[in-house]
Amino acid sequence: MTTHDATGIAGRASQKVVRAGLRARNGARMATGAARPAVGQTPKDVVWRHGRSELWRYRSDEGGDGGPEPRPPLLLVFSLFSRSYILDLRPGNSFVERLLEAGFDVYLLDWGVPDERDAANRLEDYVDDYLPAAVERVREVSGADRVNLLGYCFGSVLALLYAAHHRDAPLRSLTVMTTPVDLDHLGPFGNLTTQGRLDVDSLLDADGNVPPQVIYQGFRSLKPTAAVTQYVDLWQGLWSDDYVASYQALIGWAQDHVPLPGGVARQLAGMLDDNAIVNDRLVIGGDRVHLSDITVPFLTVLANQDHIVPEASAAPLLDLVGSADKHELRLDGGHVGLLVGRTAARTTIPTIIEFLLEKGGRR
Amino acid sequence: MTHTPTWRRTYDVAERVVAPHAERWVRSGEFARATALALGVRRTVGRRLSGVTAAAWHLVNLPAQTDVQRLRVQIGALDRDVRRLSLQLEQANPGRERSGGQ
Repeated sequence: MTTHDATGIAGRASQKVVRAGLRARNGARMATGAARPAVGQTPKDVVWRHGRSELWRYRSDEGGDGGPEPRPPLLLVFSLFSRSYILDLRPGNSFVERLLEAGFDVYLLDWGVPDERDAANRLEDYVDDYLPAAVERVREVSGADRVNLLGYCFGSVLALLYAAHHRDAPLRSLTVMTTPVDLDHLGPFGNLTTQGRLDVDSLLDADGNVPPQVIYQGFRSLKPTAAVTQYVDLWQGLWSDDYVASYQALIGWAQDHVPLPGGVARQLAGMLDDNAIVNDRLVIGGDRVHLSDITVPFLTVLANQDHIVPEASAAPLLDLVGSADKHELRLDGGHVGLLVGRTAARTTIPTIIEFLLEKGGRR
Repeated sequence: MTHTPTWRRTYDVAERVVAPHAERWVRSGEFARATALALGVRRTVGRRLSGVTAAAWHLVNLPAQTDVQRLRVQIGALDRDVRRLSLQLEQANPGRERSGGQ
C-alpha cells in the first residue's frame, strides 16, 4: 500500500464519519419538525379576493406603476388539486422569481382551500366567473390592454377552457404546461371511473369535496415505487443541508393537496368517460367549447418523463388549438421538474421566458 | 455526491426491475376494479355506521353530525350561488366597486 492509497482510505473514512454525524443531526431536525424550509417567499400583495380565491401580484423593484418601463402582465393559473407555492418554491429555485427577473409583472390566481361552500363548484365557476374577473383585475392593476396567461397542470385546462369559451378574452398569449388532453392516457385516474365503474360520489367527504388524502393516494399510486425511492434518496443526501431543505420543500408540496370540489369531480368523471377534450365534446355553461377557437399565440410545454400527465396525454394539444402561431416544447424531465430544479433552471424556464418575451413582451 | 455508493446502485437496479411491473399493475383494469370495490365497501360500511349513530342521536331528538354537515353543504351551495351572482353583476357593471376586492 502506498502513502497515496493510505491517505485516500483515511480521507474516505473521515468523510463517512462526518457525513454520519450530519445525517444524525439532519435526521433529528426532520423528525422533530425543526428547520422546515420556508416556501412561497417572494413578496406579494393580494389585489383581488373572492370566496377562497385570491389574486396575488408579486412585487418587483422596477417597472409597473411609476417605474421606468411598464412590465408586461403575466397571469399564472394554478391547478385545483394542490397548492400553488410550487411556482415559488424557494428563493433561488422559484419560477416566479425568474419571471420577475425577466421583467414580467407577475400575478398568480390561487384557488385557496375549498370547503363545503365550494362543494357545488363546477368548471363554469372557474372558467366563466373567476378567471374573467381575475383577468379584468390584472388589466386594471397593470394598465395593460391584454394579458399573458400561463396555466400549469389542471390550471392549463382551466386556461384553455377560458380562452376557448371567451373568444374575445383580452389575451396576448397563452402558455400551458403539462396539460392532460387525451384522458385515455391518464392511467389509474381514468381507469377508476371507466374500467372500475367508480361512482365519484363514493370518493366525496361529508363536506361534499374529494378529500386531499384521496387525491394524495391517487397521485402516489401512479408511481408505486416512488414512496420507497424518496426515502432512499433522502438517506443518500441527508448529510447535506441544502439537499434536505430542497427535499422537505418538494416532498412537503407533493403531500400537500387541497380538497377538490365535488361538482368539479363529477364533471371530470364525465370528461374522462367521453375523453371529451380530444373528442371535441367539451361543454361549459351549456355551450359547446372548441379548442380550435383559441387563436392567440400559443405554447404548450410537456415532459417526456411526466408520470402524472404522460407525454401521450399532453401530446395531441398542439393539433387541437386553432392558433396560427403555435409551438410545442418537449423536454426531458418530469411533471414538477419543468418548474423546479436544474432542468427547469437551464431549459424550461428560459425557453418559456423567451416565448413570452417574443409574443407578449410588449404591451 | 459524484460517487454512487454500492447500496444505492443495488437499489436502483432492483427498482428498475420492479417499477415497470408495479406501474403496469396500477394502470390495469384489475387494479381499477379492486380499488373501486374497496372504496365502495368503505363507503357502505361508513354509511351504515353513520346511520346507526344518527339514529341514536335522533332518539333523543338531537341532530346528528351528518344532519349538521348536510345543512352546511346546503348553505354552502347558497353561498356559491351568491358568489357567482355577485361576480356576474360585477362583470355586467364593471364601473361599480367590486365586492371583496382589495
